[in-house]
Amino acid sequence: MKPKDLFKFRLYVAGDTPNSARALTNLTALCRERLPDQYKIEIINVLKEPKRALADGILMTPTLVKLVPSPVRTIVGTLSNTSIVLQTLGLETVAV
Amino acid sequence: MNRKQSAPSADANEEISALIETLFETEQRLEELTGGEVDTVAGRDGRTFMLRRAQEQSRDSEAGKQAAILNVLPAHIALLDAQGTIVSVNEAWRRFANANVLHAPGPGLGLNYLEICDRAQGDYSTEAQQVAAGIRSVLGRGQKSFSIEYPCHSPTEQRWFLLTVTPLSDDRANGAVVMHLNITERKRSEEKQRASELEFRSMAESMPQMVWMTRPDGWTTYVNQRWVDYSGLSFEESLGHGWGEVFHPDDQQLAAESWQRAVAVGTDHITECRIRRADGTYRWMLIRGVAVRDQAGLITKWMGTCTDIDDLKRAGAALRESEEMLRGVMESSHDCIKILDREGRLLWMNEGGQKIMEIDDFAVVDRQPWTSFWPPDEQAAAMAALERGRNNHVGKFTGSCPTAKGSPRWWEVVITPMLNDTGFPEKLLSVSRDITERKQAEVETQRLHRQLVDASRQAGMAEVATSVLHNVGNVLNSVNVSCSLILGKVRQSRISSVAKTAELLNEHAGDLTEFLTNDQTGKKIPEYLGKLAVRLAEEQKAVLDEVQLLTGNIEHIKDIINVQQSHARNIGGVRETLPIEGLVEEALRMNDGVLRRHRIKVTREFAEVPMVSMEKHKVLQILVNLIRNAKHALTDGGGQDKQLILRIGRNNGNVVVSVSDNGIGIPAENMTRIFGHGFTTKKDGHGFGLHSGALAAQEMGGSLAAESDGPGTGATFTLSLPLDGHGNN
Repeated sequence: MKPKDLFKFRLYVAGDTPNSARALTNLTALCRERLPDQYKIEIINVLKEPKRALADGILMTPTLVKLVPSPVRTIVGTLSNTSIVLQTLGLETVAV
Repeated sequence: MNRKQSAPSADANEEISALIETLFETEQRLEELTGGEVDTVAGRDGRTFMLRRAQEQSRDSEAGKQAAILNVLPAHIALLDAQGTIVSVNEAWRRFANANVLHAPGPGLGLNYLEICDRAQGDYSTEAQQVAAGIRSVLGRGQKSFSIEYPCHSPTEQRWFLLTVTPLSDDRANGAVVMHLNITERKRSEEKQRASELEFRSMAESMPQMVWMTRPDGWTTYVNQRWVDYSGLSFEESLGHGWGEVFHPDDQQLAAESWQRAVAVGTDHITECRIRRADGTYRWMLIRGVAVRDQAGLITKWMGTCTDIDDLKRAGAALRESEEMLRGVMESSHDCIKILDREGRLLWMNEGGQKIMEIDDFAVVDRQPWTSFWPPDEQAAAMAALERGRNNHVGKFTGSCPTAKGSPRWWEVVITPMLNDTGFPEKLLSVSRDITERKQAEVETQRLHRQLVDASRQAGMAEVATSVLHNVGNVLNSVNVSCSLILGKVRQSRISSVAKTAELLNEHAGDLTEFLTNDQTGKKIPEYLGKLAVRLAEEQKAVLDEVQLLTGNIEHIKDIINVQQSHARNIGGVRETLPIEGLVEEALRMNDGVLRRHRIKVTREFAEVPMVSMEKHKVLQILVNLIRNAKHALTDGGGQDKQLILRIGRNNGNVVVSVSDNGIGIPAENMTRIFGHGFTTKKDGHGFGLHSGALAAQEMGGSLAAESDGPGTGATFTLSLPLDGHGNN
């Protein structure tokens, strides 16, 4: 396998509320398609770990944070607009 | 948040309304800003505020999901509060409410389930009380959960239920979930399983074979008592692979390979091997294993048996061996071996037999009566042999019968009964041996024998003739002597003196008186005539005496000739019943002259014996021979005391005549040869006398034996003749 950068994501959700659930679905689908075998998603349920969200400065769910590779980027929402998401995550260049 | 216990004032109410308006607008604005894609926002203190829409959606979907899940479950589920009151039920509970005695009629919402159980009456009240106790225990945190299986049979069918009681939450005593699950199917199949297991066990235990069962991988899970009894291994020792050790060391590898192959492929397993019995002996077993499969075709277990085939195996081996041997015997046999049924019909014939019998196609003779193959004059013997076989004896006979192609053959036939299981002679075994060559040899032997006998008889006749001539010659000597004596006497007779006297008397015819009275010569005539008469009378007597002797000798010659003639007459082998003494005397008489001339002393020791049936000339010939041999032995010995002893006696149904002499005897080396053809000790002998004598004795069923202690001790020849007239010849 060609060594590629590992993408580490952190997704803040509020249980399985509709937008959070959709965001997780969209992220997983995108990662499988664009970053096969080179991503890792950490899910943080703010209903269970409110302190963690506060500490991370997350005000809304769902919020996606791309931790690695730098730069760190944050996207709020259901991640339904794929092109904007890819652009934001800096994956457009990877794809081209 | 202000938590006043008192009711809000009018001002406060106004402020609350304003704040609610603000809250609404705030939320509205948040939704707008986030495009409706956000569920929660965090407060300054990190508290999470769920936006209303998310809350509503979440609540709706959660409740719907849970209700849907609960309603599709086949189990009947009710939620009890901490007091045991039914607060919620699922669809199944609702539908089934009336079917179960432990359910309240109707959905039962609001009823206290504990009370229902407490009040239960009838067949299932015991279970109902157990359930109530269980629920109380769970509600009171005494038990984590409770479950019970209980029967609930309706008049038409048997039903079983599983009731479980689970606390509503882990940490607070706030109610419980009661679930009834219909487990009738499971129960039934369990029952069935148990029943079939029981059936299998009882069947396995009642089987004469050893029965075993293994897991699909060959691990033994069950053996029946018979196995335990046979192997001496305990039930536990036999489980797993424990029973491998009782296989015969020579069979272990083969049996294991065969079994592993069967397990791997899933085919039925069959093998023969020796398995050790409790007493340490190995017996042959037939091991069969069959894979038991489920509906999907997967092997669920192996079942099998061990059948003791040791006796069979041994019997089989013995049988094979004996069959092979039998076949070998049949094939190599030069006899015609047949199997006949009781009626004597031909059922089977060995191939060698068909060859000998010159039968090209057995079908031609199949089922034919065996006796019909024999020529008419042999059939009686064949029938008799067959009858003996039928009566469980052995029938034997010898007969001549041509083969299928007409070659003349002699057969020695033995018929033996073939017994069935009950000892009944169901079939007959007939073995015919071709004895043609033997028979031909016998015929040839007989012919030779007859030739020999004829020759010996002729020789015997010659012997008799010799003896006759010799005797006649002896007598003729005497006759000659007598004749010369008579001739001499007659020649020297005084007849001439009579004639001279008559002439003198004629000369003096005229003066006869003068001449007789005065003449010197004439005067002596009367005296002379008287003396002459005396002399002539003497002469006559001497001649008469001699003539008498002559007559006697001539009579003897006649006797000898008569004997010879009677011998000649009896040459046809006619048996006569005669006193043996007479024959002995006759034989002596025939040798009388010889014995007398050699001054042999004859002693007779005759016992009283019955008359014997015999052929006179043969006995006479033998006796003459024996006496003449004795005479030779005596004269050759040169001793002065020549003894010949003739004895007549009885011995074991025989009349015995023995001729003993004290002559030269017989050396031991000659004892075995003296009866042989051509053996003689005489210078002019031809060695035929004793040989033909022995043959003649045998022909009459008797015997001729010789005894001698060696040279110079004399010899005894003994003729034995059977009293019943015929011996074993």
